[in-house]
Amino acid sequence: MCELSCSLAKEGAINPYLARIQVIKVDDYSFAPVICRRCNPPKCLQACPIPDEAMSWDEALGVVVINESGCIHCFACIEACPFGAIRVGPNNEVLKCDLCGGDPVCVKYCPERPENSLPHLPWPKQSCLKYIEPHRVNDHKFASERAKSQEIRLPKDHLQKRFELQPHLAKERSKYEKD
Amino acid sequence: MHGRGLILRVDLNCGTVVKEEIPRELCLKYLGGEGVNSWLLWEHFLKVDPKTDPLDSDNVLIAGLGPLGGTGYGAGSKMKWTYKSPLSNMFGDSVCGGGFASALRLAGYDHLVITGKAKAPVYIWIDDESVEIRNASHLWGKDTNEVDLRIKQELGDERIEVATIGRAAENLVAFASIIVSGGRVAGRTGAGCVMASKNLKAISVRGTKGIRVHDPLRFQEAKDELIAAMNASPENLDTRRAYGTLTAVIGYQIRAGNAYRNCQYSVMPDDKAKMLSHKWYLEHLAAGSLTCSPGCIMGCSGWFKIKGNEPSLAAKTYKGVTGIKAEYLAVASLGIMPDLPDMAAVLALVGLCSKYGMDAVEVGACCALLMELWQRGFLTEDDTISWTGEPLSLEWGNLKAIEKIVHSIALQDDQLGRLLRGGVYKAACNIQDMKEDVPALRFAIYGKGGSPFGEDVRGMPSRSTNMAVASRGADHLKGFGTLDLYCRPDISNLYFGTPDAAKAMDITLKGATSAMAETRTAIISSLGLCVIPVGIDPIQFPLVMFSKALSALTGDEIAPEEMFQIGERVVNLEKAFNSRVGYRRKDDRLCDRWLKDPKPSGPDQGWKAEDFIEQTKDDYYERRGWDKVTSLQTRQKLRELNMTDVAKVLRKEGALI
Repeated sequence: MCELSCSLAKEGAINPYLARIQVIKVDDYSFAPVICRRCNPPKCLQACPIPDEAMSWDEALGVVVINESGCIHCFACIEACPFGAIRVGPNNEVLKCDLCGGDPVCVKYCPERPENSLPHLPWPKQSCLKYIEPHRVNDHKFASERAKSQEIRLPKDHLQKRFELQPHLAKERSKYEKD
Repeated sequence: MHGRGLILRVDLNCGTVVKEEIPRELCLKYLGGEGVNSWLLWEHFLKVDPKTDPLDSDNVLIAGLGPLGGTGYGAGSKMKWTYKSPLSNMFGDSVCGGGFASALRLAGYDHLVITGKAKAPVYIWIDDESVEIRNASHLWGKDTNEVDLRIKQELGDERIEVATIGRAAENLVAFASIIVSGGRVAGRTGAGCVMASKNLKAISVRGTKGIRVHDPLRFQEAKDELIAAMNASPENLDTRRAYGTLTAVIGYQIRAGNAYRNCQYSVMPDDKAKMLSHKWYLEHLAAGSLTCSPGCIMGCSGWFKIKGNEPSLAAKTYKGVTGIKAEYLAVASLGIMPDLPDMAAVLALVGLCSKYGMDAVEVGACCALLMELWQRGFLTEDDTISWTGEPLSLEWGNLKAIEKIVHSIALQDDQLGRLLRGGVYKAACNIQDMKEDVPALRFAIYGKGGSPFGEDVRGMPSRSTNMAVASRGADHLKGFGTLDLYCRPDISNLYFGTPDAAKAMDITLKGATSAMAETRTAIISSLGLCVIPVGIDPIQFPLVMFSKALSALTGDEIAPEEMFQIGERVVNLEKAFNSRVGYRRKDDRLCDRWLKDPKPSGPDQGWKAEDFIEQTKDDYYERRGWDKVTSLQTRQKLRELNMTDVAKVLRKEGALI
């Protein structure tokens, strides 16, 4: 649902391969969303060879935004992201979450789960995705609370696998390797 | 065309692949999904004799997802598989969740039409534009979960979606299913059997092209409107989100609809019902929740893990088993009908059925039939020795026996399996042929076409009528949300201008209610949505809502009244197919248990279908505008629906009044 909503809002088309958020399989029946964690300082911005043209830091939201017209498709940011959260679309577009200006659609359409209110689960009536206001991102007390909720677990090999998971990127890379 | 894909035709005889656009008139006439699928089936059987054996290479397997499926609209994406059923020998279709359908649409195809028969086992690999038929001899004989995994490994992408058949289908069990996306089942009426008869082991697809939207902003608004309506009854939505349809076990204890011990009783003992209830499941087995298909905000599915220390006898046996939660009908068929009050065992058995790729409902009905014959002394240990080579006790709730039956059916390695291969109706006939003094058919639970249904419907006239007339045989997905279960005067008012149809245990307008509910589910299935969240309630989810969404997605303006007509058209087309095969009013019948045995308990104690079914059937045919004596369609009705081409074919074959 989040992938489909994201691509509709951002690209006006329905296509999970164009979404800025990606849901991956952790094991047989559990899944985890992969999305920008808004690290500060941002690794992707540090890796970008032309940060002035291709990327900018949105002060109000605390997130790095890609400027598509300036991007040279070097994919350095994709390599640099410690969470594998930047993706490449079918036409080589670099896809990164920009928080939809502070009201992310993926969060909007993420349903609350009623059974999360049962005694054995710690967080009553929660949805999987949650929008965290910019000033709380680096709030340590809040961060430890987040960690307690085991908010997002990613499989260990996710970073190694992130190229295999993206057929377009894999094709592109093999081309470079041949060259 | 925005929001629409192509029809992909694969001929396995010669390996040709043809892609064609869906004619716009066809979209306007039959919408998509179930509707267009049924048209493609009809079209195919204009060239082929409709009386052909379903396992002949001339049969066709059609898969299709309606336009609103796979778009993230909010109410799921349910694919329809359509074919001539090897189980009932008439129209057959089966619905499944899973990501396969969406992936197919994202690759640019709304419908997949498979004809012919491959010389050796093959699988189809669809990667956007490229369509390849590949060798599958190394996958033949493998279980469904393994095939799913191996194809993903072979093609090197975990996000590929696979639809596959298991060993039951390979052994041509008539009720074999197609297992989609590693555990979503297109279960009823033998879809897998047709696929196996084509030597087609699996279909895999990767779709990266996406769906173009006519007006994204308006589509977003339509989506918000639907989601607001879904959230408007939070209690209802919350219950369903957490438990799916499992709450029905307790609901039917009160309404007396649990077909306990092969429907000899209508309620279970309370302590047994507790062991099969949603609460027990959630307390002991639930491991997490899932949606069954992309683009659903309800997500009533989930997965379980048997830890081994649950307070149930079978927990130890099945320690460590994980799988997808079963829904009410599977639990009713394998838990309530054969009296196996153990959720852990039932879930493990349902998992086993999907591993082998067959319909758990049919398996449960077969077990229950054998057990009742055992209870009545018609079957003895000698019979089981001659069938399986070893003594087997068919006492109620004998887990070992049920497990043995599941293995035997799937592997077809003994006489027991061969006896049950054709489903419960044919099994009863076989037993009667073998032992003339055993009236097995008297005890089998089945509706039209011989397909079983694991609920006691005797006191529900509208539901009974659906079981008797549905195009694919006894079934709740052709006529979901009948008023004798949901007793809603407001819906009755909307349909008939009077609240009378909402009375429980009353036959006023109940046949007409069946027709209305059937039309509505046909529309929802043709749109590619799931009937569970939006199928029941035409007031909370009026057709105008879907009409708006469809116009934003595709640009086609279809008014709600036209949409209702489309629903009727789909039902009429499926009926026309069955008329061509030779089905008439006398075939719209129920089993003797429902017809002749009065209901033993519950608020509707003493009810039996014999007392009302002919009346409600009259009411149903009248509402449909069909002939009451033969149940055949009338020329006038088909002309009204702009289906003169169909009428012409029927007239030529003497199947029109």
